[in-house]
Amino acid sequence: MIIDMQSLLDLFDGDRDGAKQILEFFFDSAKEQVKEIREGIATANRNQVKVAAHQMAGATASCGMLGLSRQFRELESHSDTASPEALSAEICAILDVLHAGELEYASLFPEQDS
Amino acid sequence: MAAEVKSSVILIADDDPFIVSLYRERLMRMGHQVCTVQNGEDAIRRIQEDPPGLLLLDLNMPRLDGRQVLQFVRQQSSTPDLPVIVLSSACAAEAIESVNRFLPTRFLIKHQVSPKQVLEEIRTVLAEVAEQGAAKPVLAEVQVSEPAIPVPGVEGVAWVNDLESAANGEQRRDILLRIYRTMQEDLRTLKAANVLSLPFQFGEVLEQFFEAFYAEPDRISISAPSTLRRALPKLADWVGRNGEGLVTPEPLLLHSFEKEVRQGMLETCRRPGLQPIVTARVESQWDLVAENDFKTVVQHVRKLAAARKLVRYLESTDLTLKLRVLILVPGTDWAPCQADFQNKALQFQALPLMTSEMLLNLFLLMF
Repeated sequence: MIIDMQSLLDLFDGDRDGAKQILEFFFDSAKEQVKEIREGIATANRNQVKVAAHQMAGATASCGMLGLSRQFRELESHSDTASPEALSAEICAILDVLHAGELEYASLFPEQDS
Repeated sequence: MAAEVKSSVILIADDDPFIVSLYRERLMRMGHQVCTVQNGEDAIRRIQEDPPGLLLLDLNMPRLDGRQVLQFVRQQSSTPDLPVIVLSSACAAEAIESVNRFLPTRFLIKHQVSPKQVLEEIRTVLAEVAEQGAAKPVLAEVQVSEPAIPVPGVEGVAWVNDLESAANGEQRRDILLRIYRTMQEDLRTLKAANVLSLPFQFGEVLEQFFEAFYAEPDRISISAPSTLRRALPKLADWVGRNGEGLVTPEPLLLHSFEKEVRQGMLETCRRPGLQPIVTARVESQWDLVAENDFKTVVQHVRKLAAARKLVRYLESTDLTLKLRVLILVPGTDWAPCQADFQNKALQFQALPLMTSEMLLNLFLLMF
């Protein structure tokens, strides 16, 4: 389980809509941050990688996604020294988990098909 | 005086829009006025103009970091006791020590506290201020660094990178064989038995494919019309050149709605002596699968409608009791329809990066 739904509901005093909104916002902003990370890796801008990974470490922790938070912190700590290939590998592994989180979110809050 | 917490003006200084949004919303619900800034300079400017009742402060911010803001706050005559809760991902000893010097009211590390706990701390600090006029600083303890945590799946992704950078089919084949041998030593079990709409990791697909094929080496059906059309001539050439000593290929079930594609596939496969079974209708394909005792079907679909049609068809039969069905879908935008495929006896894998070259290499390994 990637999303700690109980903690989130706790935070929102049981308000599912509130929890849903924040998760939606999280996944939207995660897409942007991951894009920043990938761009940073591609252009060898390590600071960009570091900053985005740092933000994601905090955001994921705030959503109760502690495993993912750990992964982002690892990425942040490696951003200065690891090779681009290793960083790419890390962000790809993180993406797996993020996507699984999105799917969990979708199953927690099913929507009508477009 | 009652120790009730009056509503306060809370300033959130953090450049992460997610954190700002999360705490702003929650604090407003608690009855507080909330202001937000995204960098250290704006934080200082705002504090000078109108000191808040409490500052929720991130450390890593552009244009003056949180430590500099805290230093400013403590050194100003108008705000020496301003309650400051530092909320940061930074947990290195140096970061904590450098901040502790300026006596933050609280130092909370994001991955060690939940948002609920942060809000509780805010309540506690404001209650202390209401009762006693000021809140006593509780300094963060320096933590020993955690050991590095291995990131799962990194190796698999490195293989993907190797595969994508291979110069030719032979190199790709060698890489795939290497991947397979490594997986043989450490084969991970397939993820959940029911529907998996997972994000793409080619290594994982290979793993599932190998496990499906090598564990149950009876027939595999692959349906991927235009991808197959591009891949088959190369496959035929390869089989033709390397036929000697090969294990007889398993029957291959090919399916396409397009007549031209079916004809092309049939001709291509006949040359090297492959034994295709070619079908046009989804229903025919599945009838043949059932009749010919196939064990695994890999179905490549491009459109949501096709996936739904397939699932509906399979649900109307008992095929899913006998078959392992791996549905390959492009893109990662299948999440919204995931619920439709839940609890079906299918495996459903998102493959945004599947290319005909990769599919060809899967074929090569099969044979």
